[in-house]
Amino acid sequence: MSVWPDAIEAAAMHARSRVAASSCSLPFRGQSWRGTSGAWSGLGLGNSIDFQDHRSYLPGDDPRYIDWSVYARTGNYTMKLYREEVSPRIEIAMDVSASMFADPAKSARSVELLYFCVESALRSGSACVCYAINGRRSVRWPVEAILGYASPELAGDSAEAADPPDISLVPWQQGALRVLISDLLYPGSPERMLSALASQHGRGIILAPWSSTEESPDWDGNVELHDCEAGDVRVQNINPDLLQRYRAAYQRHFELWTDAAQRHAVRVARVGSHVGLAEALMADAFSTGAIEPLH
Amino acid sequence: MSAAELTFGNPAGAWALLGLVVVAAIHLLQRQSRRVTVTTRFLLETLQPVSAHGRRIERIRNSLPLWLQLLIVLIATWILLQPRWLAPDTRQTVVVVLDSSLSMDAFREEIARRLSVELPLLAGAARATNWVVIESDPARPRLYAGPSLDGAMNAVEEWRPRLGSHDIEPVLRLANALAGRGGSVVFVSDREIALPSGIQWLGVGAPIPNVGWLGARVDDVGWTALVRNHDSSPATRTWAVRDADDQIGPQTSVTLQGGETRKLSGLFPDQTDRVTLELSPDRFDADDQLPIVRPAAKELGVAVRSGDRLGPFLERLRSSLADAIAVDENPDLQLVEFDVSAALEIPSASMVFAADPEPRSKLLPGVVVAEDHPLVTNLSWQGLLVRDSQLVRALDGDDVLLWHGDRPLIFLRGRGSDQSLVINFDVSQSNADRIPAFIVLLNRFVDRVRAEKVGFMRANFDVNQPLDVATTPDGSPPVIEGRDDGMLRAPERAGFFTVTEDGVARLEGSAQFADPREAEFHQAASGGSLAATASDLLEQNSRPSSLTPAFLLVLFGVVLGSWWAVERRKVAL
Repeated sequence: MSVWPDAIEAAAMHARSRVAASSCSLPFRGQSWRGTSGAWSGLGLGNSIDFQDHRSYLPGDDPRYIDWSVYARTGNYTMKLYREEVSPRIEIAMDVSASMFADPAKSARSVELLYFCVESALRSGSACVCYAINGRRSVRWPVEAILGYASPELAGDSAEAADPPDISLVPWQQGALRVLISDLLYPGSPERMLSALASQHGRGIILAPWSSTEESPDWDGNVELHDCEAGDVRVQNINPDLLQRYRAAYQRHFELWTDAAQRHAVRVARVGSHVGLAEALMADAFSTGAIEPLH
Repeated sequence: MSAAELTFGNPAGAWALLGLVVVAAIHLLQRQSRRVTVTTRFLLETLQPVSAHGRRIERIRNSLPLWLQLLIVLIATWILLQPRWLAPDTRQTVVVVLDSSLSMDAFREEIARRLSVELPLLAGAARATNWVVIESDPARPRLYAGPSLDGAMNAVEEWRPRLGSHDIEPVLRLANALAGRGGSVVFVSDREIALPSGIQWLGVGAPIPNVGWLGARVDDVGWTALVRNHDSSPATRTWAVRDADDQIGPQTSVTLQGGETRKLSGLFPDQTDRVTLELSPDRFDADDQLPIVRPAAKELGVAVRSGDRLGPFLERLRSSLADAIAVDENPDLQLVEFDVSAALEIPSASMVFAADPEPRSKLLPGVVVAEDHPLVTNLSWQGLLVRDSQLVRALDGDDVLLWHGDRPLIFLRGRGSDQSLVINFDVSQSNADRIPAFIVLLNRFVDRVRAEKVGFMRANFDVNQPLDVATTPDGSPPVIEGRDDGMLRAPERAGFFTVTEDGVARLEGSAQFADPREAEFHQAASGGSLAATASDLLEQNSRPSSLTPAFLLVLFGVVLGSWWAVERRKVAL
């Protein structure tokens, strides 16, 4: 059974994401980008009006860029250099393992985050490339297919899904804005994933959808815990003490991720699914810099 | 002033305490495991590496909802118990009237058991209770009167019913008077009867099968007895004859259909004047034994003092008297031909027959009228023809029995053993000897003389039958073997007995079960209860706890608190 919403539901989620993208976006401002010609300041030299640097005149240089005030002072011919204007490259990797869709609210929030990122990229005129990752498998996911509300091939598959999403499989481009949409609910150290996000001068952002039933479940007594990704069942007797320790472990898990992300200059934002998308983004993503207001 | 005493109007409310067990069970039992799909199981696996299924029944967890729910049960129980405060000076009298009918003897143990359960219900209705136990036999003394319920129960256990069917109205009036205002009367019987209002019936009985003797007759040949099956179903018993030496004869089986009465007969063993017919015992044993004596009346010595006219008549009369022997000296009774013209004194202890030496031929006119006297009761004097003759003049103290016009035809003179019967006409000039009433009168007088005679007799009686035993005027009071109350009655239980005066036997007799109505148990039934009476008395003697509304409010508050605690627990989870 497909976990991806049908076209009608996806269209509704897209609409909500579009509304959110009208007030906030991925963090493009205040950063230097590489890429094709666009409207954002690039790292290289270009033809924008933003002064970047001086250098000595070399034969063949365009004399229009000679800095005559410097010549007046020094008598040397010096060239003015201006920053290039480029379009940022956005690379979005979405974790489509079963845990992303286990809860209806969380499932909707996950899809909304994808559409938000795509809308944000489109509005900024950025180049956008999307990938779907499920465990150790990843596929390129065309934006047209996303905007056509087609489900990714790997969505909800349980094969090898117990493994964390291996984002090293994604061919990240140098200097791109890398957005990972994942709930981060897998064991193990976050270092490898964060390193992949920050490699090659990439700017990493993690948008982690979460639900209140994960944070504070109503388990009590004997419970059969069916893992949505592994597919097996574990019988567990839950008493209040164990439940209390679980909640603490849940908090610690995300504290570890946050601390590790800071070390790798990756911005992590936990986006709750119990409130509207814009409200959820403002609650945590703004403060971490994962999202910025448009105006 | 002593403090009011706490009691409960509804002790059955204590069953609500079972709610404590229910609450504990609910908190002990774990919910059945449910299946949930999770995304964070890896976190639990780090906390509890080994899967652990909880026990079905777990130790009670100390929680606020648990204690609040237990408190709810306790408060609800207290309210259901209907606590009441007995006024410190409340007193009551409970009169227990035991039906003295002999049929109650079959249920004595059940009666004691039933009363041991029912009477304590009344005990709690007042601070002090005065118990009075009486039986419906008005001749019996009070069985118990005092504050101890144990004493009353002991009296019940020792009591034996003895009467046949009898009127209970007088004892119920007495019981009501003893109970007084605020008291209660309980009538214990083995069958339901209509009682005046205010008297509670307590029935202890059941239809039980019974076969028993009805009675016996003795003649010159032997004895003839009746045995009856009082039940509606066939029954088989065995019977035997026990002689005076306490030797029992062979057992004989008898099978009786439901309601059948059968005649059995036999002889007295040689040289013995008493036997006991014994049936195999059943639950009602009062009619299982039938003692029989060979009757022997007191012998009368009868002398004839005749003249010329009535000699043959008097001799015939003497020879017709039962148990009479002819004597000349010291007779018990004289049959006297009395010459009216001789103007002699009427002899005492005699039957005096007036003889007119010059009888007239004219018949006396007028009608014969009898007085209301036991000697002439129910006797018809129609057809009596008497010729006119000289009279014995009746004196003022004489009891006239029969009048012919204004002429005293037959009268009594004297008292006691000296009394004489005067036939104041010439029987030879009448047809009196052919009138049955005349013969019966003479025999009645002879029986009276026999009864007055101090002598030995043997007879069969019913149990508790009054006895007519002549004793010497200056002798000691007669002693009845088998009775210790001094009453001149046959014993209350079947058996042989002797009446003695100064060690001399005056009477040997048998007391036989005599009331077959007591042997029928078709209508025996149990029923009634004192719970309602106890409740009414308690309400009368106590007031409800004034804190009950407060407890209701507290209960309401605890219920709300328990609900809040449960909801808060859900939210916390």
